[in-house]
Amino acid sequence: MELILGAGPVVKLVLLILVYFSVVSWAIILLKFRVIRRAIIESERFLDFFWAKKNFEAIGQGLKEFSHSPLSVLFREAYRELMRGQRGSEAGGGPVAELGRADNVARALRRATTSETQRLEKYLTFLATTGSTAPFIGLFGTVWGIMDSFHGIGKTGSASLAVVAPGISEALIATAIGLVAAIPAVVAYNHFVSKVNVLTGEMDNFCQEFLNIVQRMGRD
Amino acid sequence: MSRSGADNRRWRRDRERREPRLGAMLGASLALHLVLLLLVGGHLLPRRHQPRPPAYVVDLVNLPVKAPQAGRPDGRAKKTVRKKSAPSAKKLSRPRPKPKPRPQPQPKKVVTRKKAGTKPAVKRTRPQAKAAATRPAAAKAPTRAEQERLERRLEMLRLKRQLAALAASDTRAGENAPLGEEKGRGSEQGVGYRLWLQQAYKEAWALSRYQVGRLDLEAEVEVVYDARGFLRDYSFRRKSGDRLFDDSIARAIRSVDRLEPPPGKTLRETIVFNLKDLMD
Repeated sequence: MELILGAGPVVKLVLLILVYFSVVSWAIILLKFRVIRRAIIESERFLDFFWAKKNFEAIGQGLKEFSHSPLSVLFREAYRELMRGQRGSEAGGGPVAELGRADNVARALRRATTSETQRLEKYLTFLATTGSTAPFIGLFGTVWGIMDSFHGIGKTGSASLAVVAPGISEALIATAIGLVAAIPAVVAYNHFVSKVNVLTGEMDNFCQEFLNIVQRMGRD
Repeated sequence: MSRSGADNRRWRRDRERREPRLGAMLGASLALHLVLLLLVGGHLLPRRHQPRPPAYVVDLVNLPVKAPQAGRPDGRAKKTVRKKSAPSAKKLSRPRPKPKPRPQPQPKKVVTRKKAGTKPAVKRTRPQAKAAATRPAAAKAPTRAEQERLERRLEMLRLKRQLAALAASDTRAGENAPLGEEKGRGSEQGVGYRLWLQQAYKEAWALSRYQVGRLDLEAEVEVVYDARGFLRDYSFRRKSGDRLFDDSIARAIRSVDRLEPPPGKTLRETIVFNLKDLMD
């Protein structure tokens, strides 16, 4: 603590920026941890629920329980589009209308997948930025601090280790804090990106399954 | 299943409300950082408050002696003496044997020696001897004028002796006082190993002012030197709580790894390091 308080103004500013990066990074880490964990758990539960019920109407009734699952959102959007198409075909249209309905559902699913992926990936760029820039910001603070230290040596005319070491250790604090901010951010970013990839894969699979069902329904 | 746009908006709002918010997470993150900061700073752990030991006097440069006598504990004046007569450094530690063999009956010289801080016991015998020597003369022709003169002389001598004793007891009396410890009761001029070590550590100690935020840091270290004067061991009996300060103390102790002259027996001293005193 004394080291930080004894540092120069530039190093202090660098430390402040790094602390800001660290605080926001950890907030995002906590947020994403909760969001993605819930999404994974509820998606698994939703898939079980989806394959257990064979009636879209019954699935639509129970969607509120899975509001955090991206698959439930996909189902909801597709089902809405299906209902709209069915209303249109009831008015008359034939096989061309059936094909158009499947396309519309596919587009709705794609749109929903994109928006859900964006929701899951929200703020992750900040983690990537922190991971890549914080060490350099810390390094800048270190370089500045060491420059300051050497300036002091020039002034006092003494270059013994006892004189040089304190200034250098003050400066190195900036690098240490830069790494402290960057390491969790990088680890969390990689972890969350892999989880989001898993969820995106699940969403793609669900889209294919849903479109198959829709096409089968059209043929029947 | 809702079909209208209003239902859809409500569903989305409801979903967003249930989502964890970044603001709340920022608060949690801030709290986490604060706790971490307090833990690192050592503010969350209770600190034992111990009474402050008395500050030591550490301005000595002299070599240590085994039995220091009372006198002036600061080494500044002694430094100049050293420079003037470097080969007579041994003389300083043993000034007594030289004046003893010289029989000087004159009272003036006796008084000056007393002022310098030599033992008053020797001086006491001289006026008594003088009085004894004058007594037979007074018995032969004890005129009143002579008697008064003798009494006045005796009175003068008594006063001078008292003055010399006072000057000897005042350890900071001046540069004429012999080098010793404030409360020393030994027979050698110079300071004890403890004070000598304190001064040596002070000279070897180095730490930047910018590294310490507080001036009330204190640490207690036990040092052990063997009979040949080599540093054998040191251990912190009480740390200051400031790692940098403690490290600087350890460095200072390690740099004073030899005692000259060797103490002749294992020396175990507890030294209190006070940051304020060290920075003086």
